[in-house]
Amino acid sequence: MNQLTELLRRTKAGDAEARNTLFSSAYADLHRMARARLRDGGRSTMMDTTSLVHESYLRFVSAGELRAEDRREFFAFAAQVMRSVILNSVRDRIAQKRGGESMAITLPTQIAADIPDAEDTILRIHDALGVLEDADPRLAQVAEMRYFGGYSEKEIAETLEVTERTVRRDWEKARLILGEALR
Amino acid sequence: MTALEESGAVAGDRGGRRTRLTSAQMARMSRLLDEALPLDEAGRRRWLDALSPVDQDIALALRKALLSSGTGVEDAPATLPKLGSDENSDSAASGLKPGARIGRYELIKLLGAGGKAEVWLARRADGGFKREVALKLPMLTRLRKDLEQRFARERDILAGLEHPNIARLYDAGTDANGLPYLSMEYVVGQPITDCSDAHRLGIRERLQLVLQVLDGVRYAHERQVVHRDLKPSTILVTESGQARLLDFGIAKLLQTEEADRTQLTSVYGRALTPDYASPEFLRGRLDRQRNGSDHAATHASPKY
Repeated sequence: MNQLTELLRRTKAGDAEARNTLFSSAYADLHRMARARLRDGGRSTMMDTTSLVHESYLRFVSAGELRAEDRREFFAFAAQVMRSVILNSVRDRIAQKRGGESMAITLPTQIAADIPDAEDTILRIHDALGVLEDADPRLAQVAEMRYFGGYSEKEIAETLEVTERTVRRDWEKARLILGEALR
Repeated sequence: MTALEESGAVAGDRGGRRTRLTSAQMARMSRLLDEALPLDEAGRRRWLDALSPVDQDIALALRKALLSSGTGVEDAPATLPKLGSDENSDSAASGLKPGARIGRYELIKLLGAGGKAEVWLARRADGGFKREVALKLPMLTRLRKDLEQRFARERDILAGLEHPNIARLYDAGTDANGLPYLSMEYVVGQPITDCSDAHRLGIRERLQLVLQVLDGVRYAHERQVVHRDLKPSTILVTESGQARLLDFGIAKLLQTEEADRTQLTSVYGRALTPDYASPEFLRGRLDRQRNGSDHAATHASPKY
């Protein structure tokens, strides 16, 4: 009971092992949902990932594995999971392209085609964000939640317990720094 | 290897292969931006000119960051990469599987999914027409009992839209769980922007497509139906070069309950697509919205 709650608590206190366990246990669930949801690309925008996180959080709460008070930690954590799900899918995709395998899964329907080089941009932002994490951890966290988690400023502010104004300023700074790092 | 390391998102991958700033430079930049961002443009120029010699290595980056608009880093990736199919490929986020019954329809396969809806290829399962349809299943939206009548009224209006450039709405209703479904014409085609690029269409041909779009929009507007979410992905072009507008009026049809909640900015995020939404829509004047909304979208779309 409340296994995730306990792991979140220990993770927050800096317990790396708890963090790994937490990541593995919730990762599988978020990852499965993300794959099911994002498989066809196109219609799936970042807006969808944030609703995904909400749904997943509610599911954990109703299953008794999380307490409602854990919302903040869960959201911070879920942004990391989302980042890794996105990264993994980008890498799969690039590997597939390099392998010369045709995109047989493309559906001739109302599903927007992919944007060229979107994968490359995502990988580069991920790399630059890794550097920013060393330089300014909070800025990097805001950028992670915003870019990979697709969270709104309000959601980020609640998660990090800062004002929305701070989040806006941080995100502006992070964008400028990342933009320059990638130029 | 733990899932954490394997993911590479949290640990590892800090090499910054193609990153032009070191973390020390980023840290300095972050501090310096705190000083300069509150300044107006003239102030920023003076501030840049007075930059200390020790910060000359990032002077150019600061100058670009402070004086040019647009960073090249969007709020979020515009589109997520598609994921390859895996062993769970048959399971949709909704948990529905091919063969399941929704109202009068039997699901054949998942065509696409987003945070707000799943779209399935489906067929009538009650011995009616054997026609295949695109069945849209909005998620997280349960119709309130008292709004069912309104839903039915809107549905009848939309089902009455018959135009070569508008994908037909055949039917809409609620399933056994009270969740709404919409049965629509299954259009095989490409978003208008992709189609134009893929076929390297010239200005004339592109404009001809836009004229088709306007034709459909005008037809609907004459019947007092506003699309509310026109954008490339809701304008498909078929193999034969016919533009078809998808989801006409659907945004309003499904807005019934959400509007009662926190006006489209509920926890599930904005329901519209900001780049293509009209100014009055973004200002939230949904009630007073006029047909001009769709025109903003047709002006914005060709840019892409």
